[in-house]
Amino acid sequence: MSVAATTPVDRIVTGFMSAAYPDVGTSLDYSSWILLGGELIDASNVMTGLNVEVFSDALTASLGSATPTATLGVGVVGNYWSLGVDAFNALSENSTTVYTASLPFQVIVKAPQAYAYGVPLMDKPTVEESVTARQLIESFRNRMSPKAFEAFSRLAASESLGGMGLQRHYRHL
Amino acid sequence: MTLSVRQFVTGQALPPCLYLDANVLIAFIVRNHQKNIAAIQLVGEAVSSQCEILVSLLALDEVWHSLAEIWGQSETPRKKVTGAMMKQYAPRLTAKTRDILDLDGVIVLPGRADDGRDIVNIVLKLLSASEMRSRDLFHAGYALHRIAGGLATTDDDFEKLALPDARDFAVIKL
Repeated sequence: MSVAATTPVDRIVTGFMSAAYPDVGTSLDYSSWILLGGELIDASNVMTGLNVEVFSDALTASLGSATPTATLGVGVVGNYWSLGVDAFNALSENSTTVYTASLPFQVIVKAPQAYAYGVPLMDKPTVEESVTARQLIESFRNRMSPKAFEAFSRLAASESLGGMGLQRHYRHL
Repeated sequence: MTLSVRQFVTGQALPPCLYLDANVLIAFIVRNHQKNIAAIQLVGEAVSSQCEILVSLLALDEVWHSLAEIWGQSETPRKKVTGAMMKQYAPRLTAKTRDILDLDGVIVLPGRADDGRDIVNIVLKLLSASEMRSRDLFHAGYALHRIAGGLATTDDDFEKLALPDARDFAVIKL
């Protein structure tokens, strides 16, 4: 099933909840972040249903706020979900369900489609993710003491997991 | 007594006294951790809202071990953490620990030498009432001993916590 790019967004949200979600189970292994309406959304939580309402609200809030900048693809290969600009292309041949729409959004991390392509997860965060973390950290600058902010900004996102083994190990720590 | 479990979302009011599980600190520090952004948001909100942020020695031990494991793996895959590695990483661990302690509102538990026995007694009550692993029981024991309003974690197991007395307690999940 595919939905044309001009499909109203409420159809897409409905698709998330009524068509896509029941198939998810607990099998989503990798995380994605999407920025919608100024809110960072954990796509893995979207997929497991925890943030469906948040996601829906953000999606709705983003409507009409800007010229569409990219195409959102959501799909599933077996039990693995993928979401992102490239996800549609990666999944279109194998997906049981694919929705697309032109929306103003930004994909922050696109790990799931790395799986879809059959290549290892990214060891390093994308530029977009780094910028997002730094922007988030910076947003606290004037909300805590200078000494605390120095410590906070040195600690936050200061280390990186190395290979796949550790990434798997710490995914649910 | 009321145990509430809720997902952390941006802008959510935090309890005035919040225990941080080790996994939250690790998620906060590790940039490609699945919960990194959420952990930065939670810790930032806790620090900036003048929460009492409870960090136990148990949690610090877990953070140290995890960081040593991460650094060790980057040098030699599948290498286990050794005493020699801990000594090698001492300057980096010291810097991380100092930064944690410098966050506004951080209180290290236990606070007094005689708190330990009380914490063990709480953990013993939890042991027979909850289906939880020992390390999680001790994290909960630290939080409940301090009469924290809640515990932040990425771990689903804290949903099984059986409170030993009448109080409101929130498990805030990342």
